[in-house]
Amino acid sequence: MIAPRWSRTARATRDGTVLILVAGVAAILAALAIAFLGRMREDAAESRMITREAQARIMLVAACSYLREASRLGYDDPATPTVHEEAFGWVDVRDGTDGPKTREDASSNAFPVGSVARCPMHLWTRTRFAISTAACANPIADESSPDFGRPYLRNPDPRPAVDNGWPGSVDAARWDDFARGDPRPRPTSVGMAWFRVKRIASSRFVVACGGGGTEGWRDWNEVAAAGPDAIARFGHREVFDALRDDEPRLWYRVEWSPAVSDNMYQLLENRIHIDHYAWRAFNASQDFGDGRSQAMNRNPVGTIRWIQRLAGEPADW
Amino acid sequence: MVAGSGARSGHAAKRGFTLFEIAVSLAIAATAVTSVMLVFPAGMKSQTMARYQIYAAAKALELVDGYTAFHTANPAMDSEAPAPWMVSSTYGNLAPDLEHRLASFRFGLFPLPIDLARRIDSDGDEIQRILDDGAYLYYSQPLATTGFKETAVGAAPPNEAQRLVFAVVGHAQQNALTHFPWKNWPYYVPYPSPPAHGHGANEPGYSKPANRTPVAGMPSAFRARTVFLWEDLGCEDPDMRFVFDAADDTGTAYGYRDHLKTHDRASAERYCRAALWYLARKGFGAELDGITAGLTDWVGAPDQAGRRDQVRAMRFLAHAASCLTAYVPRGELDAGVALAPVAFVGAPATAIAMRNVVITSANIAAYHDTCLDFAMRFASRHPYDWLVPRPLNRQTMMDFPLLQWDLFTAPLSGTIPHTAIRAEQWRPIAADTDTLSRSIGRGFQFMNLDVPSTDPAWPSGAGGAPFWGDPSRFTLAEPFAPSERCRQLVFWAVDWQAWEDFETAPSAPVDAGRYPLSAPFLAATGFASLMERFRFMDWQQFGYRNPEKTLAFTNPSVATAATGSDVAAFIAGNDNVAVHDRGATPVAMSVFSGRWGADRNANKRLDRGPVPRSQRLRASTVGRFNYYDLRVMGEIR
Amino acid sequence: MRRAFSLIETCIAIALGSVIAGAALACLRAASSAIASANRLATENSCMRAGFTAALDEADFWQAVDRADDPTRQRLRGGDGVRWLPFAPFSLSFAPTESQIDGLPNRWTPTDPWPAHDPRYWFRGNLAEHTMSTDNRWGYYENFTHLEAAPDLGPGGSGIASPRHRWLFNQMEGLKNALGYYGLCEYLPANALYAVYGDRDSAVGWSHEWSAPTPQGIENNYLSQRGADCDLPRGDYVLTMYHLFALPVNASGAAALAETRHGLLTGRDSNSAHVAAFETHARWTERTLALRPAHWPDVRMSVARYVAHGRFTTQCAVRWLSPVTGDAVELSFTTLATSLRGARQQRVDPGDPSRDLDGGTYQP
Repeated sequence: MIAPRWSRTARATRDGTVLILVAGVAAILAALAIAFLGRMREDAAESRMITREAQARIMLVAACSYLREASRLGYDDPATPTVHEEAFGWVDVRDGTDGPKTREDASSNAFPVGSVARCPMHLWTRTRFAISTAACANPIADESSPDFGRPYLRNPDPRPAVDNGWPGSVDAARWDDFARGDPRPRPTSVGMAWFRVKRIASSRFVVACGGGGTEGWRDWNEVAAAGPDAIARFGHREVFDALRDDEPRLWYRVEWSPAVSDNMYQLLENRIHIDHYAWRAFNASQDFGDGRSQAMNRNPVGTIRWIQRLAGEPADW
Repeated sequence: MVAGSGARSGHAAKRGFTLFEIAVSLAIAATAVTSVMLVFPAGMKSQTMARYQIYAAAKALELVDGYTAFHTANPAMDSEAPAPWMVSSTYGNLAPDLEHRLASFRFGLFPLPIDLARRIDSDGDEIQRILDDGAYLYYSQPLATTGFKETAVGAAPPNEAQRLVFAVVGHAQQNALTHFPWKNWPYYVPYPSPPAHGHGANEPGYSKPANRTPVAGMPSAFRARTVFLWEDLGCEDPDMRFVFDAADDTGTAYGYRDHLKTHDRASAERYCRAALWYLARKGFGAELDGITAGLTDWVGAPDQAGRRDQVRAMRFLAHAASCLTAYVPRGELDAGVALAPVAFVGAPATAIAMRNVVITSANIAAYHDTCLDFAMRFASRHPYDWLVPRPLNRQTMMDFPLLQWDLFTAPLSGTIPHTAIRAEQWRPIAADTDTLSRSIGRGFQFMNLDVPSTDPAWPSGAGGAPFWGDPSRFTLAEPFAPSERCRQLVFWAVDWQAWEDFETAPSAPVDAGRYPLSAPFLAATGFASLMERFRFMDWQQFGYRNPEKTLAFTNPSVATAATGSDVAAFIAGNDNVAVHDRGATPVAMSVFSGRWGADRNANKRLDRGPVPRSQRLRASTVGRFNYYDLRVMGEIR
Repeated sequence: MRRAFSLIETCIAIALGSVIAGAALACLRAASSAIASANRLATENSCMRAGFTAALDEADFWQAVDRADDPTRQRLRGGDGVRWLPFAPFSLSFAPTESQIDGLPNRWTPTDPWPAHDPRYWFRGNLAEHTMSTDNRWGYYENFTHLEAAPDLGPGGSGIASPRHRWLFNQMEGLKNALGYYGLCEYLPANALYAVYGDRDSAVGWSHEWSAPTPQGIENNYLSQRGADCDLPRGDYVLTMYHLFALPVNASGAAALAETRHGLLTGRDSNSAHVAAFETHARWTERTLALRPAHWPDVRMSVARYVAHGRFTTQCAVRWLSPVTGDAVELSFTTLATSLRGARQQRVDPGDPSRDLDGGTYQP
C-alpha cells in the first residue's frame, strides 16, 4: 500500500523538525545576544563620550597653561644666540601696554587682540629638547647595598632622551637631534584633543576646547579657506562634519594676570621678636627652633585670574 | 502493485531521529550555547570597562587639575648650598612635570611597587616598555587631592578606582630650573626696608666670612643661629653697611640697628642722616629736595649700576624717614625736621657733599611713593640683575628669572660631603647669562662665597672649567607649538590588589632628591648628621619623602602578621603624631624607602589577596588622555 | 503496519533530548543571570555617568548654588546691608557712598585687568608690622595708605592723617564685605596681601578682622587664622594653610552670612569632626535621579568649592548605594571649572538685564 500523500509530506517535514527547532532556538539566542550586545555597545559609546568630554576639559587646562607660558616664552630671536628674548606678559608688566613684547616698543606685540591660535594636541614620537622619562635619576639603594638608605645625589638630573655621552665624555654631537626631536605624531594620540584661543582684550581670551579630531577648525569653510594642506587632513567635508558632530566642544572665557602667589610665609621674622625685618632662613637647617625655611613659591609665567564657562558657542572664536 | 512489507518497514524506519540528525542538532545547540555563553560575559566585561572609563576620566581630570593647581611651596627645605649635589632643590622631585609634581603623599600619586608592576601584562607590552625606560606605573589614594590632613579623613568607601593604574607616556621637554642652588633667587624684601639681614648659622670662616659677626643687640635667644647683615656682601654694595650700622667719631651710633635698639626721636633722626649719607655717597640727593609727589622715572640717565643705587637709596631713605612719623608731632613734621650732614668712622667719602636737609611729611610721602616706583620699575625690567632684592609688595612673574641646565657640556663635579663619592650636576645657563654672570653677587646661606667660587673648599667649579654652560643651548624661550608639550596619561585596569603581597611589597625606589637633606654645616660629623639635621614636617614639605609615606609600614613584623589584622599602629601616618622615617638608623631608612610595604588600600588592615605572586595579571587598556606638560613651575590661579 | 519507536530508540532520544534541553536550560540560566548582572551594571554605569555629567555641569554653571532663573533658589543673594552673600549683585553689595577715591571710581570695574605697572595696585602698608604687638617704631604707614580719608591716628600718630593711597584698601574691604572670605580670595589677584589699615574699632594698625591672630587649632570668624606669632600681613598661601575658606551651600540668611566669614579647620590640627563640619558647611549634595525605580542605585552628586593652601578647588563626588548589594561606592575628583567670578558673570543683575552681577556687560 502506498502511503497517502499527507503522510508522505508529514514524514518529509518530520525529518527536519529537530534541526528546525534547534535552529530556531539558536536564532532566538542569537537575537538575544545581538540585542544585548547592541545595548552594551551603546553604553560603551556613552562612556566614550564621557571620556571625550573629560579630554575636552583637560584641554581647558592645556589652554590656560599655554596662555601662561606664551605670556613670556616663545619669542626668542635666533639672530641673537647668546641672549634669549622673552616677553613681559600679555599686559606688559613694565608699562601696562598690550604684550607680549620683547622690547619696550608697542609695535612689537606678537599676538595682538583679535589673534587666534589653533592648537591640535598630539604626542610627538620624541619632542624637542626631550628628557629621559626615568622617574629616578638617583635611586636610594636598597638593603642589599652598602649605601642602603643614603640619599646620594651622584648623578646629574635630568638627562636628555638622546645620548649626550654621559657618564662618559659629554659633548654636543647629538645636539641637533635633541633640538629637532622626532615630530611624527604617535598614532595613539592623534585625533583626540585640541584647544583654540582667541584674544579678545588685553588679558582676556575665549578658549575653545575639543575632545575629538577636528584639530580646532571651526567648520569646513575655515578648513577650505586654509588651503589644500588643510583640506588634505580630512579629505572630504563629510569626514570633517562627522568628526565635528562626534566631538564635544566647550567654550570658556578666561583672564590672565602677571600676579603670582606670594612668598610672604616665613619670609620675614614673624615670630614674636623685635626685628621683624630679619629674614627667616633660606635653608631650614639654618633656622632655629622650628627648622623651617621661606616658602619658595615659584611662578615665572603668571596666573589665570578667572574662568567663565560660556553657555553656548560664541559668535567669534 | 502493492508495496512489499519490506518497503513498508523502510518507511516506518525513516520516521525516527537518525543519529546524524541528533549529532548535528547537538553540534548546533552546543555552538549556540557556547557562543551565547561567551557573548554575555563579554557584555559584562564591556560594562565593567565602561565603568573604568568613567573612573579614568575622573582621575585624569583630577590629576591634570592638581598638577597645575597645587602650590609650589616647600616651607621647610634646604635649597642653597655651594654645590648642587649638596641639596635636592634642582633634582627631579621638584621638577614641574606631572608625575614628579604629583608623586607626593599630599598630592596623591603613588608609584606601584616595581615587584608588582613587573608582573603586569598589557597590550603591546606597553607597561613593560614604560618600566624599561625607567618610568613608573602609578596608583592613587582616594581623597588624596582634597588637601585635607590624611588622618582626619575617615576610611573612604571602597574605591574601585584603585584598580586603575596609570602612567605618563611621552617625553617631557627639558624644564626650567626651579631653584638656583648657589643663590635661590628671587630674594624679597618689603619696600621700604633696611639693608637685608637674616637668620643663619653662626659659622665664621665657613658659611659666613671670617670677619662677619652676628648683629649684636638682636634677640639673643638663638645663639648659634642668629642674625647677619647680608646685602652689603650679597649685592656688592659695602656702602649700605653704614645705613645698617654706623658710628661717628664720638662713638654715637647711627642707622637701622641703632634705631631698632633705641627707638626714639633722636635715633630716628640719626637713621635718616645715615640714609642721607648713603644718597650723597651715591651722588644724588638734591633732586629730592622739596619733592611732594613721587618721582616716576630715574633721576638723570643712570646706567645699570646707577639704577641699583637709586633703588637702594630710596628704599633706605623712605624707610628711615617714615620713622619720623612716630616721633615728630604732625605740625612740626609738616614744617620740616632739619637733618645735618654726618661723617662715619671708616666710611668712604661721599660722591657729593652732604647738605643740611629738611624733611617734611609731604616729602616722606613722596619718598615712599618714589621708593615703590623705583623698585617696581627695576624689578619689571631686570630679571637677571640679582643685586637688588625684589619687592614683596608686588610679586609678579618677572621676579623669576628663566634658568636651565646645559645638558650637552661636561657637568660640574665634586664629592658628596663627608664621603668620597663623586657627584655631578650640569652647568647653569640663563636667558641672559651674560648679564647674570656680571650681576649675581652672593647667596645668603653661604655668604662667604662668590657665585661662582673657585675656593677649593667649596668646589662649585670643575677645576678651572667655566661655571656657566653654553648660552646658545638655552631653549626655554624658543618659539614652540603647544603639541611639543603634549604628553599622555594612559590608564589600565588590573586587580593588582589581588596579589598576596600587594601590601607587603616594598615601595618603588625613591629618588634621593626626595630626602630632606641638610646643606653642609660646620658642626656636621658625617653624612648621617646631614640626614638628621632638621625636622620632617609633612605639612611643610610637599616635594619630599616617599610618596607612600603616610601609608608606609614602620615595622618588619607586619610582614608576618595575620591577614586582616589591625596594623594602624604600624602605619607612618602624619608627622604631627610621630616621625618614623627621619635619620640614618636602619629602621628610619627602611621606613623612608618603604621597605616593609604600605597600607595601599588605606583601610588600616593588613590585606593579602588570593593571587600568588608567581602569577601574572593582564591589564586592560581603559583610556588615554592628552595633556599639556609645562616647562616651568607655578600655580594656575 | 506502523512501526513505533523501539524502547532503546526512545531512551536514546529522550536522553539526548534531555541533554539538549539541559544545555539549553543552563545556557538560558547563565544568560539570564549575565543579562541581569550586565543590566545592573549598565544601569549603575548610566547613573554614574549621569552623576558625573551633573557634577561637571554644576562645576561650570553653579546652578545648585544659585539658580539664575528661579528666585526661590537664590540662597546666596542676600545681605544685611553691610555684609553680603557671594551672589548679591555689586550694584547692591559694592556701592559705597564715597564714589571716588584717589581720583578713581570707588567701585568694582569689571574690565580692569589690575596691571602690574599701575601704582594704585601696590601694597603700601608696612609688611613687617605685627597686628597685635607693634610700637610703630618704624613709623605710621597709615599716613601713606588707609581705608579712611582722614584717619585719626591718635596722639601717638599725631592726630589726623591724609593718606594719599586709599583705593586698594577700599577695593579689598569692599570685596570682603560684598563676597565674604572665599569670594575675596577669588577676586583679589594671586599676589594680594591680606591686610588693611583701620577698621570699625580703631584707625590705627591693621584691621583685626583681616589680621588679628587666633589660637592655633581653633576655628574663628577672622580672615587670619594662625597663632599669635603669625600676625604679619599674609598672602593666600598662609592665609588658607591651616584653615580653608569654603563657599557655604547649605545655609541661608544670617547663617550663611556667618559662614562666609568663617574659616574651616582641615589642615594640620584637624580631626574627623572638623572634616565632618566642612562637609556640612560646604558640600552641596543632591540626588541625581529624584524619581527612580526602587531597584536602581541611589546616586548622589556633590560639589564643594573652597580655597586651601592658596589652591582654588572644585571638588566633585558621585556616590551611589547599590540596592542589591548594599555597597556604597564613591567617585571623587577635582576639576578646573568656572570660578566664582565667572559664575557671577554668567548671571544677570536683576536691576539691569544688560549687566551681569559684577556690573559688566552681560555675556553668558
